[in-house]
Amino acid sequence: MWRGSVSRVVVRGMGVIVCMVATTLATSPAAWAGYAAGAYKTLGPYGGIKYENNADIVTYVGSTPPSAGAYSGTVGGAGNVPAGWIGVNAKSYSTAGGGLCVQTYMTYSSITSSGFYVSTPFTNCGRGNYQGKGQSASWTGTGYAVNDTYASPYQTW
Amino acid sequence: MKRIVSARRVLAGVAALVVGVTASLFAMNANAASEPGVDQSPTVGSEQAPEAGAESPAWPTNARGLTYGSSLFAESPDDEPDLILAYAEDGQLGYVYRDELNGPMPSSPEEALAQQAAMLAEYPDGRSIPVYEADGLTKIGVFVVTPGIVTTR
Repeated sequence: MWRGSVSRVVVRGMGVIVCMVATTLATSPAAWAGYAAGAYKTLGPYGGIKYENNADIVTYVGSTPPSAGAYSGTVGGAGNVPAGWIGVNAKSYSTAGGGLCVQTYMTYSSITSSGFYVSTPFTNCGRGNYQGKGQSASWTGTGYAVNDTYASPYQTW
Repeated sequence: MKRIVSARRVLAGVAALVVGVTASLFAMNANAASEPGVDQSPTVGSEQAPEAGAESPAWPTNARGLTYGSSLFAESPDDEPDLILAYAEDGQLGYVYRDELNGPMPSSPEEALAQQAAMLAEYPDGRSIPVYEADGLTKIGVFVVTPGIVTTR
């Protein structure tokens, strides 16, 4: 009888502890504090293919630096394109004044894919409000069409 | 019965420890959010995506005829000013040359991949470019164009 009671108490207690640990992990310094994504911009068609791009910004709880990201791919992820057909760079700007904080290399897809995402953390602007932005390059058959993404809404770090 | 009480005491102790750790993390985060130097200035950016076809800003021109300003709301690289407002690694605000920032465009997918491989081999930690005052001549720091972290979808 008492063994069953002990088991129930232990099981219930462990359930409570698991919830608490999950809460602790969710609020650890690496947890997201905020996320903002810009609208998708439809591009092309280039070489008969429609593309899209967008940018985002992620802030983290504590001292983990924020991260800027940008995506480009075929519309709705429909259909793969060969390696090198899509390029993406990610940038972040300080909302106060619009200074550029970070920019990645224009990075090209190294495999056949429908699209990909490039991101980078940044620290040189200190704390403040930041917006993500980026550029995508789409192969037209004769050259690259380069387009900016819309700027994302800002996030505060 | 004693075992039930003991089990409850052990669980209560573990729970108290977890609550303590959680509370400490919340306190750390609250301190981080109220650190001195947090930019509280009014924001100038848009919460919404600008409408397609919105005109790019008219850039001011320096004494050498070079346009300068923020590229935040440029529609494309062609709309960007010659000198782009940017923060140097040490936090100083200055300008970088658009052409140095963006680098040359490849003329084919094969060239793009070769150019990318060469860039990552030569500058695996990022490519430094000078940051200038608005005159485009007086160097005040460096800006690092970084390799990104790629996630394929």
